[in-house]
Amino acid sequence: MISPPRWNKTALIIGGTALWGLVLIGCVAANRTLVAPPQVAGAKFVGTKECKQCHEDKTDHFATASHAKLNLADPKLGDTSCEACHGAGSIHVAAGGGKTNIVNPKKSPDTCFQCHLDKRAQFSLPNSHQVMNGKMSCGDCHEVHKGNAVVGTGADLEGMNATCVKCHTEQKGPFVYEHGAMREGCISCHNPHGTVNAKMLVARDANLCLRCHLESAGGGVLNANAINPSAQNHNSRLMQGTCWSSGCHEAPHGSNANYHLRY
Amino acid sequence: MKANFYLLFRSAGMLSSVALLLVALPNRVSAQKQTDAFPTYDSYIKITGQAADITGDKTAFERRTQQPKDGGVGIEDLHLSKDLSKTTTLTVDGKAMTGSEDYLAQINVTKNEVGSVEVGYKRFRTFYDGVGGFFPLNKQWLPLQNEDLHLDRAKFWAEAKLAMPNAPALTLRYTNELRDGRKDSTIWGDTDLTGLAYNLAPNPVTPARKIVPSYINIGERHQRLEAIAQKTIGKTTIELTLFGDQTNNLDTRYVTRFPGEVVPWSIASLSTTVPTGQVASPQAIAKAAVSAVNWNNQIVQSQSDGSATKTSGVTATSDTVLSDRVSLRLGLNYELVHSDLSGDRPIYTTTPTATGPVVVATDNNLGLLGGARVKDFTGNIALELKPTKNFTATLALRAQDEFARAASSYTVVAASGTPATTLASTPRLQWSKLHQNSETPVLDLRYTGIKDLALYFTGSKRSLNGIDQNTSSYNPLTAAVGTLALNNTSEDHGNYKLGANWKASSIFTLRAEIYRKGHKDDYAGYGSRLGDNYLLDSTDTGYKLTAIVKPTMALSFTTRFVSQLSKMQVTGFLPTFPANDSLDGKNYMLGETIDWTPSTQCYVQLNGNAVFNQINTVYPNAGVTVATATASAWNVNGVVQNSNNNYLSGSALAGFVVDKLTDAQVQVNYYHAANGNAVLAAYTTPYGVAVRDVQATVGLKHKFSDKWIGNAKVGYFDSANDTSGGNLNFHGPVAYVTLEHAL
Repeated sequence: MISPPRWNKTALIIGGTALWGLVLIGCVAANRTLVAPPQVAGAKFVGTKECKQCHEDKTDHFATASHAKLNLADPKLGDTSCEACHGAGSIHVAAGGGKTNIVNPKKSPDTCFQCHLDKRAQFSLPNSHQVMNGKMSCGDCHEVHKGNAVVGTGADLEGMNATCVKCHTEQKGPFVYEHGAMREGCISCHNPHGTVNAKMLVARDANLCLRCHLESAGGGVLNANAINPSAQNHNSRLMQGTCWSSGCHEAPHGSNANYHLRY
Repeated sequence: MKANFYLLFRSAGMLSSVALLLVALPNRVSAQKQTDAFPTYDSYIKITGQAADITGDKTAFERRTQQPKDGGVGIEDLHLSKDLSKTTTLTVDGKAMTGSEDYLAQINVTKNEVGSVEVGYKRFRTFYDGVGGFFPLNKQWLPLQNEDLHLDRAKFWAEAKLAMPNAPALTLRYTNELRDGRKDSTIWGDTDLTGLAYNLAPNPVTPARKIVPSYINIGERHQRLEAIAQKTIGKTTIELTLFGDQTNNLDTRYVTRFPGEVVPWSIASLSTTVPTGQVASPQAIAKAAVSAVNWNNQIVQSQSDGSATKTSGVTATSDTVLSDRVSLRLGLNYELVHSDLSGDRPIYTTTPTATGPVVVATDNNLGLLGGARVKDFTGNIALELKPTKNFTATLALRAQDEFARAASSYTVVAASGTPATTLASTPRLQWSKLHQNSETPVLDLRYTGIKDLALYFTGSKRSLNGIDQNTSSYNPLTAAVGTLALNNTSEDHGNYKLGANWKASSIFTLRAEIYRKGHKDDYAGYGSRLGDNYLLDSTDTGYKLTAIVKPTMALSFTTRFVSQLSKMQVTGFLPTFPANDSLDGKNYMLGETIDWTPSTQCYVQLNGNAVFNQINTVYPNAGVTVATATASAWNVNGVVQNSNNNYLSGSALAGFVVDKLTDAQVQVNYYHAANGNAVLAAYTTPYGVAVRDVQATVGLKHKFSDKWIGNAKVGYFDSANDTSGGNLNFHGPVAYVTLEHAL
């Protein structure tokens, strides 16, 4: 007796392979080119000098960029600096420019994902900025042509959180009571590329806060009931939820009413 | 018959896979030209329709895919480029997708050696599912009443640039951004409907859990006007920016507590004992009928936070090429911020009382008003040296001085009487001051003198000192000031990384970077608060390895491994609170991408990632029981366990030529996180994420003519969400079709 077919995992795998194979057989029967993204069909590498002709504003300061530290002339990405990310430029140059004959990382993050494999994984998570569907781009937050790729680091004029608060203005403050964690940056608690947790939090439970908010209750004996010098018993509260989910410290970005960031 | 078809299907798959390997192994990439690939148009329009037939939770589908559950139609992409004259170009970009409410209208006119004018409007939607927590012991799941949650971001901009030869380049830019809609919040309401008894061991475990979903109404506007002038004088380029920035925000969060647990307001005060010969009152009867666990009134709580901030400032930068080997960059920024603060936090029970809805006596505030003022000076200087052809060094320094002060007042309302008959208002006041300055020297080195090897080092060390003063909330009618907090603040942040890029051969490239962040943040009380202390000492150390192996022109392997260990240590008031390790974090990520182009007619891209991410704080190991800690013991506290954020993800993409006019594409995406731990529910709310998503699509792209290209995809999305007890599961087919026309 043969069991009735079901669309289980095996069926999907075998069926998918069948479909794949059938199409592949078809493809080799036709003699035409298909290029993998992100590439420009028919284009050849022309070198950075050609790019400088029109894009001086980008090339002049590239030596200061984080990516300038890379040895971009590698076999995978191509032969030149600009074309390592923008694809071969011969058609673009021949046409005197154009938006559709050159790879534009602002349109697709595939260029960035060639090296930043971990970021592809993070942006694919359910809690991430909308980069995968093109509503945002890596360039919205990162400066790739000059200076620090992560804006607001090193000796940049901009502040540490400038990239985030230009869109998330409510979290910028100023607040009557600021949260010291904001001085460490928004990335203390959020991973802007994406996490498995809601709101791109690096941890969804009370461990998020307990990383910094733990002090011993005395005598070197660690006390589960005391997570601050006032030795208040937080157990019953932590049973109910996290430090913020449980409705106790609801203003983690800063408060205008309560020193303990309660609301 | 169906079974035979299934077997046939399976056999066909196996045979065709073997055929694929046999046919595709020869490498013919380099021998082919690519000019016969499908064209890309200079100007085009794409008309798109998309649809989905989802079974299960449709809002979960919307949030996961950021696509509307009912599909949509419209212009996915429009690009028009036209030369108006020999020197003037018009560019138009557009998008108008209903359903996803994704819109773009952008017009740019550029005249060579004169300048450009650009006006644009962009808007897109983000979907939310508005879920709370799931309590696995009794499978409690409380959906949000209004699940229609989404947030629209819109931006209007207008920009004029004047860039004439031998004249200063001038730019005037105005932007107006809106953030409007409703999104979910992770601040949840509580319920007693968890099935937990008060005396469940270990005692006492509260039956209340905060799992009731909540949401925030967002209304935010951000306007900015910038005037930028740039001029090159000799070897120095100077840029001056004047800006005014204004935000108007009003966000309100709504939380419901104890939904479905409405009981008479005064029930707690009533006796269930009925005196002999008397008839029990209705309230007493109600009290006796309701378990003490559920003696809570349903409470509606909202909190609105408003701010109207005006920022004005100036930024000046210069870049001077002193010689072929030396450049100097200078920057200065000044900002002055004025902010008006407002807010309300009324908390009402929904129980009818003699005075109507009753204000809950704690944690409310009404009519918050306040203001803040911030002055910020920032300057930087960078000297870029290139002493030899292969060695560059940058010495930079950033300095910042910030002064901020803020104050606010509000009224607290308390109810008294049973039932509540009296409402008493008390004014509250609070203020803060902050003055701090920091210096950040930075050293950046790069050496490329060794063949096929690039070495680099970047180090920065930020030192901050300041004074942080504030007072706790106090009643100005009865006290001159609240409890003062007087702290000397200091920070010592060192960030260092050392890396190398080695192109070993045309086949193998290796990139490696090691890094270390060592941060100290110190708050030390002074004056009346001498002895107060909080010192956070944190270090992150790690490395990143990227290896690219390209054995042939048609095949490459990219492997990336990231490892990071994090430690934190907290020291409090000494000697009472000595240093204790508060964090032991580990993060390992392994990623692999395989690009394979077996022939010019097909390509395959495979990507996989495995992530192990664990955050371990000391709390899980501290204390012998949940309730009391009478002796040291380890690994016995069930309230908080390690936070595991592990996951696997992968994708496969294959493109094929079907015939001279048709391409095909097959794509599969996979995501799996298995961090759920329902056992924790006895002690706390289990937050671990346990989700498995599979998405598969098959698409065909067909060239109808030189000016028409069509693309159609059908797919299937299956999502299993154990975090929600399966309440967010969904599955179903999705479809997408687009027609692209050359303009």
